[in-house]
Amino acid sequence: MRGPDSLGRGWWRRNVWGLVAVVPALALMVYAGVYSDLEYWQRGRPVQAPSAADGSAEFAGLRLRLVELAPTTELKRSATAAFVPPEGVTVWRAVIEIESPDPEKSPGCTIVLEDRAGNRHDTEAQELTKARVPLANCRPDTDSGGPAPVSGRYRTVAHFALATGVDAVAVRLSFGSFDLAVRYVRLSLPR
Amino acid sequence: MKLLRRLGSFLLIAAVLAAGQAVGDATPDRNHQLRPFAVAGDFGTDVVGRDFAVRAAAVRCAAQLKIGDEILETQGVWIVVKLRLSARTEPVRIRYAAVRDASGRIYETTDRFEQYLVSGGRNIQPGLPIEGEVAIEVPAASAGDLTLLVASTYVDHRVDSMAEIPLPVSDVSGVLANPAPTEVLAPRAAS
Amino acid sequence: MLAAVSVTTGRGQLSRRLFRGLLDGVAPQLRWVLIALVLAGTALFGGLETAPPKDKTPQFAVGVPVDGGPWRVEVIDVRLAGDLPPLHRQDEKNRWLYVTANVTITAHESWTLTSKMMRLSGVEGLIAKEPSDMVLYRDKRVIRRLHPNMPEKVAFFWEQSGDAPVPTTVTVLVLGMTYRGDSFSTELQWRANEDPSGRVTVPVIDVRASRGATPSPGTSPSPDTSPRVSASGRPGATPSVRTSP
Repeated sequence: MRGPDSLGRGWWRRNVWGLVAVVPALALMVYAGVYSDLEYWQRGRPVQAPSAADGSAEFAGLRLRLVELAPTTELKRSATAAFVPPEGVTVWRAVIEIESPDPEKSPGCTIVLEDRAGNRHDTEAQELTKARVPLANCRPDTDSGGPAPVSGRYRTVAHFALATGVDAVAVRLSFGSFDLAVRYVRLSLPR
Repeated sequence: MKLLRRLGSFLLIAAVLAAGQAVGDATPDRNHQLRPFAVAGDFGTDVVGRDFAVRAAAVRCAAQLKIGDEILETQGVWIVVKLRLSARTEPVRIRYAAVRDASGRIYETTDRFEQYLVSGGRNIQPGLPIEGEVAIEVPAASAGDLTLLVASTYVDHRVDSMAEIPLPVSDVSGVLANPAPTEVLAPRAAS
Repeated sequence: MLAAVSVTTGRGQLSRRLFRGLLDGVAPQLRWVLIALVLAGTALFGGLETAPPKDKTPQFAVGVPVDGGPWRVEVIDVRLAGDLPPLHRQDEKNRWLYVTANVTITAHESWTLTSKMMRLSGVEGLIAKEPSDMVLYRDKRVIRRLHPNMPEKVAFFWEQSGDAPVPTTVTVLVLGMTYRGDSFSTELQWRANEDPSGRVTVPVIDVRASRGATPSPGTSPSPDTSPRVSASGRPGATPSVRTSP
């Protein structure tokens, strides 16, 4: 610390801007430290792809439309025996119509059901393991005796176990992740 | 005077270095930074983690377990905890359950028989809680002061939630004096 | 190394030039003086010595505990067996070679990857380096997890090709780990040591003729009503009907 300079300014006066600059510099340092983690986290969050007003969507090279989302009691346990869900469980069925330029090469998807409270349910509920349910993966279901897709149009059917009294409002379809981000399309029935 | 100023500069630098070292030492180490988020709660109540909720509904100890036709002995004592597990907003699997004793040792559930409830074998849907019992072997001397640990992560519990519930275990010596095999409740829908 | 850095980045070039400049500025001949000092200093004590051979793994006797860091292993014996159902050999001609040991977990929590505890040395024709299974003597079950401060007698199994010579002695290497950070992270974890913690040379007992002495593991029991994990569909998988097991 030297004495006053030629203009008569003391140490504090000479360095005032440097001291002020310390605050934003510190903020910048902290931000730089967390920036990559923050960006990684943001890119990992699922991103909703747009869907049209009639409830259909163009996504992953397919045209997708939700045609049914309702409770069902029609599941079978075997070829002849009906499936009775556990007490307090209601089975919901979502039917999605898919138009594909080449059904053989349609990408596989995962289907998640969204209830009124915003909770999500998947197609692998333990409560349905004893029921015969088709694989809900957006691909033509020809193995289980379903009809071969006509003119690139077919349906995929997903089943979900919900507590009785809970309403389903929509389904979310995702086809894996692209450039880190998981994109999904949300389909609901047109009102 | 010049010598005094040099000495002053030297002391100032030494002080700054010491302060830097002190700040570095005072900040938590990497393991502490990455530790799980402990969610502590009482026995018999729902303890809510990031993606699941767990309630320790009952606890007992036993000298032997009866699994199917097999009797499983232990050099210590079996701690059998009845759990009620539920998902929060999306399906979840519980993959870790353990107890921690007073000395900080952590005993995971035994793999001497299948424990689907806490080994990721049950996919829990929101609104459809499940219950069942888990069995953990601990040295008899440790049984008096145990905390239950439950997480949805399998081995890497870093920066994710972990439920911590103190277990009221009593009568260890009585059980060991009169060993009688006890059955472990398999997972089922919670009532 | 330094040269490579200076070619690729301007900073490396700068720091090298600075260092050179400083060195030459202080004393142009300093590096030669340093080299001469090192040679003169070591010459006084007999010159630079050849490094000793790397393998410093200490030898332990049978029954003596070897501290591997998170575990302590006391090798009891090594046996050679034929068929041990339900353990499954890749080929019926193959043999089981198994090490019986008392194992204590000295880490503060349960240890699940027990296959990392030991290796065999001096045996030809092992199908895998790691033991394929670990069996708990207490109830003759295949397990993978042991608990702290609760020593157990266990057997580690290796499958040996039937074409390989029958071993008369084997060396059991007890591997070790250290709770430490590494070059990339200061996070402390159990990390594998380069060298084993100890070696135990054991004669092999051939029990292929007598079946009584083997631990004959059984399958893991499961509660009667507990369901199996369903083999569930994945996106992109061939469509099929999922039924109950």
